[in-house]
Amino acid sequence: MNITQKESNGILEMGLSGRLDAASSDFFYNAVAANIREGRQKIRVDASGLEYLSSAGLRSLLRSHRELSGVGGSFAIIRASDFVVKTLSMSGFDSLLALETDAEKQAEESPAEEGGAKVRHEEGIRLELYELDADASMEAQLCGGWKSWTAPEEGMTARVPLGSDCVALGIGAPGEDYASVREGLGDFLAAAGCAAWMPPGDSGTPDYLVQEGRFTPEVIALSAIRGSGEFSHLLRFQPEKEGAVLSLHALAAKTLAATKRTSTAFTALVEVGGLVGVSTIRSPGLIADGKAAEFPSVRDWLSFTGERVHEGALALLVGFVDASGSAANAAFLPEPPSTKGVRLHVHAAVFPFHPLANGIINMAESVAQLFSGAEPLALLHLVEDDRPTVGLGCSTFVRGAVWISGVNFTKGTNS
Amino acid sequence: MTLVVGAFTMGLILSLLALGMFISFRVLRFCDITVDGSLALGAATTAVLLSAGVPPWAASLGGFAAGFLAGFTTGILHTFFKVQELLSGILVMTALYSVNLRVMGKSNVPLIDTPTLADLPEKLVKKLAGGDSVSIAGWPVPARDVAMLATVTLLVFATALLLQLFLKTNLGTTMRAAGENPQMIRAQGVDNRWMQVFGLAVSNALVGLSGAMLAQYQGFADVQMGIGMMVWGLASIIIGDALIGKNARGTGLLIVGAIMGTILFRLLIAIALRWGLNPNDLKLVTALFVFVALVVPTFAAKLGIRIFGGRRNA
Amino acid sequence: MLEIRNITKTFFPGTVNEVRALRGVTLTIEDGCFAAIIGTNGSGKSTLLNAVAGTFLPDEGSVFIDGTDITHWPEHKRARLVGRVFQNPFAGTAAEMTIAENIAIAMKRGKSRGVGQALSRSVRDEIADKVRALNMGLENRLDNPIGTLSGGQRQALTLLMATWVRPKLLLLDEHTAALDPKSAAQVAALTSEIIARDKLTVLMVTHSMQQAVQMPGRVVMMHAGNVVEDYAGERKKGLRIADLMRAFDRVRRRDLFDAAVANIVVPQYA
Repeated sequence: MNITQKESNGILEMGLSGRLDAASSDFFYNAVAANIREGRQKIRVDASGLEYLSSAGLRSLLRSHRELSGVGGSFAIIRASDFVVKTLSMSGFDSLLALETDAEKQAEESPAEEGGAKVRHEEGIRLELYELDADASMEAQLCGGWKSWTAPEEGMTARVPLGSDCVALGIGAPGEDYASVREGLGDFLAAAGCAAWMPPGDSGTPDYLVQEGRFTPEVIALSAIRGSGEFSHLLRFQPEKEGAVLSLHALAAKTLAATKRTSTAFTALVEVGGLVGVSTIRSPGLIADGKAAEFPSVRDWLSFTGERVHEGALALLVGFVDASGSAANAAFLPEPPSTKGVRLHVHAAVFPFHPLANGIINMAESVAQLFSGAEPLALLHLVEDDRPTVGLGCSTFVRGAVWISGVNFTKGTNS
Repeated sequence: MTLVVGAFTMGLILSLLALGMFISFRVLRFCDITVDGSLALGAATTAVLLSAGVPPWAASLGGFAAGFLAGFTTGILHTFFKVQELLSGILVMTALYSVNLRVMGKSNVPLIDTPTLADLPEKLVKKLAGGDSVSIAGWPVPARDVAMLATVTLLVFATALLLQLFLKTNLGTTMRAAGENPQMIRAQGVDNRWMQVFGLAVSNALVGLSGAMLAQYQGFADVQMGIGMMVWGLASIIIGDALIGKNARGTGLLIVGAIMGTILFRLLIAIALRWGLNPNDLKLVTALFVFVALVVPTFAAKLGIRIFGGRRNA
Repeated sequence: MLEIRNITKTFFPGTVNEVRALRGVTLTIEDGCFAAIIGTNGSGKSTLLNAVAGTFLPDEGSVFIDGTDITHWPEHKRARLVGRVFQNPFAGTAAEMTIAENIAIAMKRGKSRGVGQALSRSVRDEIADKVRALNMGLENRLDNPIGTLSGGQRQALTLLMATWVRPKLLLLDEHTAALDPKSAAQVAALTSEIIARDKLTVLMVTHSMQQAVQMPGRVVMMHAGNVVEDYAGERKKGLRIADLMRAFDRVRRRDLFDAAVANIVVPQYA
């Protein structure tokens, strides 16, 4: 079969010709999935050239419909020939059929959606900045008294609740007290009541907790940043040129620019271009002397991705940016080698890719949907690798949604 | 008729050489050049022993033993001193030239009026025929020639039988496997190096015996007599393979083939010489024949000719 | 019981091609244990097997079988204690010799070989019985050259040969890697069957993670001439292919984590 595509007024028309059967249904569905990933979420299938429609073909139409409904898009079949109409109605799928006028009506409505967004085009990337609540801001507590790579003591830890009202990241683990988590501490992140952390050791996959009923996830942390409050802005971005990506450092800069503040917090759902990061493979609670940070023994504690990883996956980012120059925040916000004066602490939880709806989307809903789907594949503390020639640089992202807010850092209390 | 009997006798004597080379080339897959030296060594040793009055059977055994030592040396050079296959043969062959001169004390030992292995059968033949010649198909043939032919036939038959039986023993099968796949035989707990040394020793012992018989038949031993013998032996084996066909796999058939090949080859040469081929060109013609068989694989395949029994593993 | 103590081996030392194939490997395989070695190409897994088989002498360290120091034994002497199956189906048999002759050679492994008949009546019967048990129909082809058989059939026979005289240790060097998937599965099943029946002590090199997870009771992972993981007992029982994949990933990442990376990354990990 053949597929032709043309886009007008935000609506993509896919013209099918030939047979849509077991042999071609995957080909068709993959084409639809690629369009959804690229943000074309109003799809009409022109069935006038269709010669045959089998059950496998029907299933691929239904799957496409379901996928698009999931991201708030729309899917309909237009110009269906008689036999297609008959096939669809006989199998009870006639809701997929749309009248020509219906499509035209939607096309007229679509431009309105961009209302409220400041649209910019930078280096092949289309950026839409939505203002959610200009007055919103966040309070961020710097919890835990651990100085990195030293032997931790009990009094340094903090109990950090990870309810739906906060976003957080740090090193910790769920447990009753420090003694119970000492050997299992790892990087964690949390947003909208969903927490993921990386237990050290063999398993290599993150574990996660979701707020449900009266249960609120909580970690005992050696060090953590916990931000609570509302987001003021939403940044959407997607490539207009093949291969254009947004780097982590550019993203951090955009959060500062959007809020016009010197410190920001952000949460993001992004399609990964490539992540560069580290994760703990041995609990820092077991550090006994100052040698853990030395090479080569540091390799027993920390794992480095070594290459750009998880391309094409969906990552949940929680990050804090600080350009205020405040020395008090330095222990919690390390400075990447190439961002003079901008300190950055970002954790990423990696999930299998699924598409996001266009326009303004709700952070809590989107994150909850993510955690109710597939399990996380990895959790990384993002770093920049600026080695000359072989360096991997910093992480990059293809498209996504970034919720941003200005933030005030305050010193939290230890448990 | 004398010509035919001569060719047969010569062919049978040289088939001992071919059987020896069968062990090194076919069983061990070892390109052994020692042959040229060990044939002359066998002849020289036997001739000197005969001249010294040693009984013929002991003198022949001496030739056999001398060949054994020569092959043993080549084997040791290759396996324990890791000298390349061809080079270890060349080294021993070259050294043997001097050794042979030392053994004989001069370049040629004539055997006139010395006893030979054919003496006893000769008496028998004379008694049976009642004269100095035997009539074969109406042609008179000297009793001495007939006796020699009978002796050699018996010897070749016995050798072939022993060889065939040996190759079916535990030691024999192990040696065959060692030639084909040394790695496998090491994994089966056998030092393949000793298999090679032993095989080469037996191979050259048979060549030495062939030399011993040649000296007794021709009536002299010459330091030059080994030159080109390896290529002749090779030609015999190639013809033998063509005779028995390429699908023959049993060792017995291969042995018979080697013998038949040698005899046929001698007959062909006898005929060629009779037709006026310059004897000086004989080695050139033989070399050309082997060359063609080696270099034209399609030709070889059509004739079912194999130089080595197959691929040698690892 | 096999004991490998601190074996090191460097090939082409002092040249540009220097390869430190084994860097102090210590490994003990208990009696009746079936252990598999997995590892990336060049991890030293086959080198370790060859060090045990005696293909070369190690630079340092020693090898013991049942308490006997065999470090300086030549390959053929070790074969008295060790049975081997190679990756190449051609390596373990003599192609132009018959099935029966090949097996007869194996029946004498570690014993003296005299000028007795190799294939006596009783030996032939014994061979036919065991070959029939393979269920490959080969018992009717005992006098065919072994080279006429398929790779899988040859490998099955090599396995039979390696275990005919019960070895103190059986070495399997990726012995199903050169076979088509169906034959590989057949030979793998036969391997498991023979090992279980004779309660053999086995060291198997494999690149198939599925085999490593399914067949043995212990899995040893090698990387860059070292043992990096050792899954035994309960830990082996819960082992899945994904765990092995992650372990490979871990050691690979560890390799990429050099001093320069540490300089850059450690200050960024607050």
